[in-house]
Amino acid sequence: MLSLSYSQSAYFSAGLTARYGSGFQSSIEIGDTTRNSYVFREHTLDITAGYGNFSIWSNFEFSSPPRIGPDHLGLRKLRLTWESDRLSVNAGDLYGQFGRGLALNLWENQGIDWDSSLKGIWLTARPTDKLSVDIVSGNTAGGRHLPIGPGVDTRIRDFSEDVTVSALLFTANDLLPNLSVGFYGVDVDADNPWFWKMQSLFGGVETVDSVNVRTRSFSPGFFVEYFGRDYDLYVEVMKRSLEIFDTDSLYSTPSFEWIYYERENKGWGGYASVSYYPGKLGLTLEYKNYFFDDSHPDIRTKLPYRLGRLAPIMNGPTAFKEHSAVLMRRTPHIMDFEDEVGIQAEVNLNVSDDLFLIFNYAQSSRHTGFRDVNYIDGYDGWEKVETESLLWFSDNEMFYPFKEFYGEFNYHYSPLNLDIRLMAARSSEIVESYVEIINELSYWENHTQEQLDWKKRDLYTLPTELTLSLPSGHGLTLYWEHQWEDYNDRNYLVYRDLSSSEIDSVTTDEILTVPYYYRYVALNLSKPSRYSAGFIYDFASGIKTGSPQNTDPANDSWLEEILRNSGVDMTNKWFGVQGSLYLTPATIFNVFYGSLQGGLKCDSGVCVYVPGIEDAFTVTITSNF
Amino acid sequence: MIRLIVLSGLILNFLIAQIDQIPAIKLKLADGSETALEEIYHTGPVLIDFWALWCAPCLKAMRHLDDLQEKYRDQGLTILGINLDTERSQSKVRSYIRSKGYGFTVALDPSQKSYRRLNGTAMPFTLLVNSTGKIVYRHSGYVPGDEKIFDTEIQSILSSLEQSQ
Repeated sequence: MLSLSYSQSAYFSAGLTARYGSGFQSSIEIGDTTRNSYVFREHTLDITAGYGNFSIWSNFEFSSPPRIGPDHLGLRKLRLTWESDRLSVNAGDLYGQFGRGLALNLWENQGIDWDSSLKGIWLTARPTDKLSVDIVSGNTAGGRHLPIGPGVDTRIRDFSEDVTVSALLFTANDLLPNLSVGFYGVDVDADNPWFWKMQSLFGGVETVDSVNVRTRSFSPGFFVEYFGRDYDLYVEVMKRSLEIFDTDSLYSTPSFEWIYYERENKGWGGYASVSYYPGKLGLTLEYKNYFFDDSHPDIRTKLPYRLGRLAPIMNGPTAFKEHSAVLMRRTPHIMDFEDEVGIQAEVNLNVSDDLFLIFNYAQSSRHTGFRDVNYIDGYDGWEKVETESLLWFSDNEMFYPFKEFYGEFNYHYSPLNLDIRLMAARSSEIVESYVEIINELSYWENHTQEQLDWKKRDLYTLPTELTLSLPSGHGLTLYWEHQWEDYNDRNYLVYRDLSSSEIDSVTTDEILTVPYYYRYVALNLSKPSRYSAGFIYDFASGIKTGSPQNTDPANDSWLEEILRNSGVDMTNKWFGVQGSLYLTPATIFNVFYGSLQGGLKCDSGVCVYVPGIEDAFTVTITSNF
Repeated sequence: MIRLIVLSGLILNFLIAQIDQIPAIKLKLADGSETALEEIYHTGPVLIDFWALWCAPCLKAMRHLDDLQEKYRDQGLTILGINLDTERSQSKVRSYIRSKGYGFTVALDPSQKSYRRLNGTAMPFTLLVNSTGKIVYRHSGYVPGDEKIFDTEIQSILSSLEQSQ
């Protein structure tokens, strides 16, 4: 029997992060070469104090502006906690999850301006050792960022949803030996801004169609968890019933059309994992199947229009590898939490004390694809197509298939005290809107013209890291990464005889666009708990906005000037130097000078574009005491 | 005003005096069982290491932590790795640890409650706690060679323990 006793001693801890940066931000719009000033001041202080069963946590933020997200000056988060063996009560800003988070996952990452924490109360009662009951009630107004696009300022939060949550969870621990079962229900009442941003004829961006739409959903679900000696199993299933109030249709000014919504939207999601780890082998298989919303492309590609989307508190496992390698992190698979089915398999193999291997494979697709049909009788609209099985992914381009192979080799060469880490990844994905247009032809009786367009991205990445522990006590780390990114534009034009369904003629136009190549190199020398100094080099063969970077010597920083005068071609190259000083083992002072490329930053499947900063001076202090 | 300043001074003094005490933390171990941190440090010093699979420096540090566990196990040291992987990689944690054959204790904290309670600012975050629950050493991040500093700190706490006995 578990007995948790709480000491009556007091404790206090604090964590400080202070960031300052000043530089420039290049425009990410096609053909625009302007640079704007980019300054951020972002300071947070977390304080926790407790005595006996009570504790208080507070978070102060002084940001004006932060690197990404809204300004804040003063107390931002506060939570009071009272805990005993049988009861715990949290009031204030709440974090946590039910099961693996399909229905309730409260988390925050300020680096991508994501916050699904609730302001409210979370009560956990444990009437017996085997039973626990969680009651959660609160409100969140975390923000959302629109995908990168014309007129979108990626540093600014585009909109917030006002979401009120009531949730209940019963968990039976060790119902049978090593078997736990949980049942939950989550009620979400949300107020959703419905709008679109478009470029104004007079410059800048204007927001149109601005109304608020209320939605309410109820999501019951269950999870089962089992631990064996060499294996474990996890299964979670949830269902969501969503009701859209106040509207049956809304008029879209930019699309010049009425957008119709079903008043009721039913969806479901499931996640399962199996891990098996006999001896030096570890195998994990994961399966995800999320099918909550099957909106057509006019709605799906515009987040505020997608009223059938999941509430921000619902964030299940992604079931694909989220990479920590620099270039791979910038080109992630962006999953559709509302409509995606897939698997992930990972194998860990400890060949010897010095050699460790990792293999990972992931594949997924959407459940639904769409055809834009134009029949001779006048019907013009989207026709939905579903995969052959809703339980499995498809290879058909219509369903946005994604697949990735990843391998990692870790070797410790003892004579030199050298750690070698070699990685290789290959992924392919349909990244841009797939359109299948079917026109019934008036000039050719009983024939249709079918047009298919899609853009596929192939990525090959080779990251390598060498870490050498020098006899002097210093550590030397060299990291370099190569990445090749190819885009294939495919266009098919097919004439089909409707009487026989045979294809009469096919025109295929395959265009391989200019491939991109990226390189990233970082060198770092460190003395443990004293200091570190490093150099960063980042290169892109081309920029997707079409405007080469760092071509104008007038915009050079002193570092770039030195390099340019040494004969280095600075086009599309970013350089930086950084130094860190350990003021105490838990207080680090870091200075960076140079330029950093921007890119997508993801956490748990949530991706936000964080802009790069050029010719910048940044200072970061992190401390724990 | 003077009363307020005196009161603030007293409160601050009290807090600073208690600054090194680790809070009560409930732990869910990787084998599915539950315990309290207090029950671990009452048996001897504990080196707590907050880590995650996505944190490359954390993984680099772990082989050295395992060596330290082997070296000082008989002297009562416990190495406790608290994993902070969220739902995105939680399923892979046991598989990773078991295949690596690490012999230290691993706890799972997907909600990161313990990390928040200690206000960690950089990963890996390492704390050395003595058998009365006092935090005697804190360290943020990992670079090659940090394990030697951990070793020195462990030796220091074990020798002071021997002297007190």
